[in-house]
Amino acid sequence: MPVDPLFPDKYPRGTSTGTVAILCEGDMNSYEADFLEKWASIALPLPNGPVVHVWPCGTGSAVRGMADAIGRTVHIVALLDRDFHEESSIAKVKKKWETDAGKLGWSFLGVCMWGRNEIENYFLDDDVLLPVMTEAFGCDEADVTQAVNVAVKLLVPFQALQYAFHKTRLAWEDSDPARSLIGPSRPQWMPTGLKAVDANKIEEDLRKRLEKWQVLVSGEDGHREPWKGDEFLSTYQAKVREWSNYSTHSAEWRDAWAGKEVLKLVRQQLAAKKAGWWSADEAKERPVTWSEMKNNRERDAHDRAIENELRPKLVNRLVVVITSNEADPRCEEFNELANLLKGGVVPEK
Amino acid sequence: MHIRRLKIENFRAIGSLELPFDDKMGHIRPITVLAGPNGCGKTSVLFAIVQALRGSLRARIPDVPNPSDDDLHRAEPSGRRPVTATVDLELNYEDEELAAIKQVFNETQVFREKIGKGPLYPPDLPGGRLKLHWQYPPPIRRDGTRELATHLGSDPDHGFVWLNGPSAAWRGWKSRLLQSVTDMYPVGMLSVFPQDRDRRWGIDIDDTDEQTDVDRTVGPVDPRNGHPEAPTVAEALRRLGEWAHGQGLPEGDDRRNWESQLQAQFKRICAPKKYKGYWLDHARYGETPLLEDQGKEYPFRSAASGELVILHYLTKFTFPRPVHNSLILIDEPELHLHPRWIGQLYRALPLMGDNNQFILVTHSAELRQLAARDNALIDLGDLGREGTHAG
Repeated sequence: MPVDPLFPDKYPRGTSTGTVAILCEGDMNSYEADFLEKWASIALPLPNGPVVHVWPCGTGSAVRGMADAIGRTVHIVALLDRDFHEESSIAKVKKKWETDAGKLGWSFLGVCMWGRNEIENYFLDDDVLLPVMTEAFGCDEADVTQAVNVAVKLLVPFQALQYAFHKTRLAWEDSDPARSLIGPSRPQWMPTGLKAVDANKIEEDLRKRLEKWQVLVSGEDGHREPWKGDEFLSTYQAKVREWSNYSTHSAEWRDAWAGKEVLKLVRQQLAAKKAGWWSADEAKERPVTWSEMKNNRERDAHDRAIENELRPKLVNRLVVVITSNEADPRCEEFNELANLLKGGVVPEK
Repeated sequence: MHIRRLKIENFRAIGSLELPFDDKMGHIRPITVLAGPNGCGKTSVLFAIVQALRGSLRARIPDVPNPSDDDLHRAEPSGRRPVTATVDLELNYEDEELAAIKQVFNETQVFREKIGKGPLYPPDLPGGRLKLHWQYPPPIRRDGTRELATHLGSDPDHGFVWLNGPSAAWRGWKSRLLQSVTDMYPVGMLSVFPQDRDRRWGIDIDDTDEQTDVDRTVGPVDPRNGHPEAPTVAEALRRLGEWAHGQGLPEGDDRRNWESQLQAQFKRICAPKKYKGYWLDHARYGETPLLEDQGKEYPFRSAASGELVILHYLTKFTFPRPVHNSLILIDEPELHLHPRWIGQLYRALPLMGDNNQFILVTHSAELRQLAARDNALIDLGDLGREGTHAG
């Protein structure tokens, strides 16, 4: 795996000023840090602005670990992915963070969740996605819309499975079925093009694995945990049925689904349509033939290079959109975070 | 006028260097940040651009010395200096800029006729791209005299028409051949902020032949070079203040808004500090540009060096006209600035004027980090290893 020579430029360093660290999910090259720093510089132009740094920590549990590592030294705000949480479970998560922070003595200003599944969902709005993608790939808006439509259709089983996992994790706090249940559920590049994995095939795999898993979680003296495999399956089936009707015109998936998956498929489809800077062949530009690549690892590596070029353009566009019109409903979504951050500003002497 | 590509040979610290200023999509980046250790050639890049452009643009940039033998690259393995230094630029013009320059030339044909020259029209520039070659020492003609140092593509005379557009227009305007100075607004300029720039409050802001007087008079002459004296930052701020009060301007003239635009930009970078504008009759300080920090007012002459630096940038980006489609070079913008202000300045630059290209040279970790996130960082090398670009 090649090492990024710019690593030192991405890692938080002591040159930063400000008074609050935002701890969020995502990796160092993800959208969170870039977006939050740019947004904060406009939305919170306070003396010595409050944001010391945005620390992408990976997973939600790693955010908690980082909070424990630095929370007694600097003010922290935790910003979590909403994933598939509903209002009732959000309140629980926030309560747990507040309790932990009190017990462990963190300088904790609060915890926030994105209003949508994750930050990538905000880039899927037409006024952000269309101008960036049409310019980047030299295509029409209709091409982008079609790519979104295909992605939404193909991702139904994957998103439904993720939803079912999420619900299961909430119900079975002490175990993680994903460890034993994972099979391919994302759309796959086949010689004939991008195809969804058959929802019935996923269900069949799921049933077999759940049966094995049922044995696994059972001890000699009976089940260690109540068996909820049927509930898991029915959650999956219900979501496949419900979400199969989604299209580009449906608003719900933009909030509810994992946005990075939609964004990735849109990117890949546009790169597969014609030749350009995104070509896999440096000698002669040609459309990217994802299906001819050896495996998903190779596809992901090439996709990351394309995403790296698009990321600042999507971020800059979103920052412009949400900071140039206070009446935009998206501005309101960020006010909660802004208010938490203001709590960390040192009062003037 | 933007730079798409740059190639330098044997100039100052650079043996051989080629830099792209466009991204993978072919778009010229609004900001490019050049970083690297001392002596890797960062400042040399800026000086090379200035040397290649200033003659053709008639840009007056006294902080960058005229080329001399000292500018020939010193690191030749044989120990001898190379014979020539060269700079090749590929420039890019916007459509609105091409149209404005053509319009200016149409309006100033009568000026050429007056001095006995035939009409001159800029040729078509396919894709808006112009190639330029600069050389030191300039090539020698058969008669022993020197050629001009700068050559433009295969048609030097016509190439110069494009580069001369801005200064020709201002000459035309001063000679009352151009009716409206607003014709010039889309035409890009070259602005340079060298590292060892004069930081006094009376710093010159005028790098070009452009004159700023609304009555088209020429100001006092600088005894050092015989040129009309450039206005200082304070003088430019005064003029912006007068315009804001409508002095000498008709109703609805856009220049009435320029001071408030400058104030908004200052606030964006330096909040909660404010630039309150030019006061002609302040009760305590008299006539002065005035700043405010948390309700406390203070005059320009008492401002901190960082505040003066920001005002210097903003004034130059606003006066004598807002910069559009321009090329702006800044050597070590972090000088005198708190890291947070550097970040705010970096984020504010693309919002100043329309479609400008900024090339920054820096040692600032803050700037490196911001630029890396935007894919806008060019690293010319690291301490202890070969430079990735410099020869």
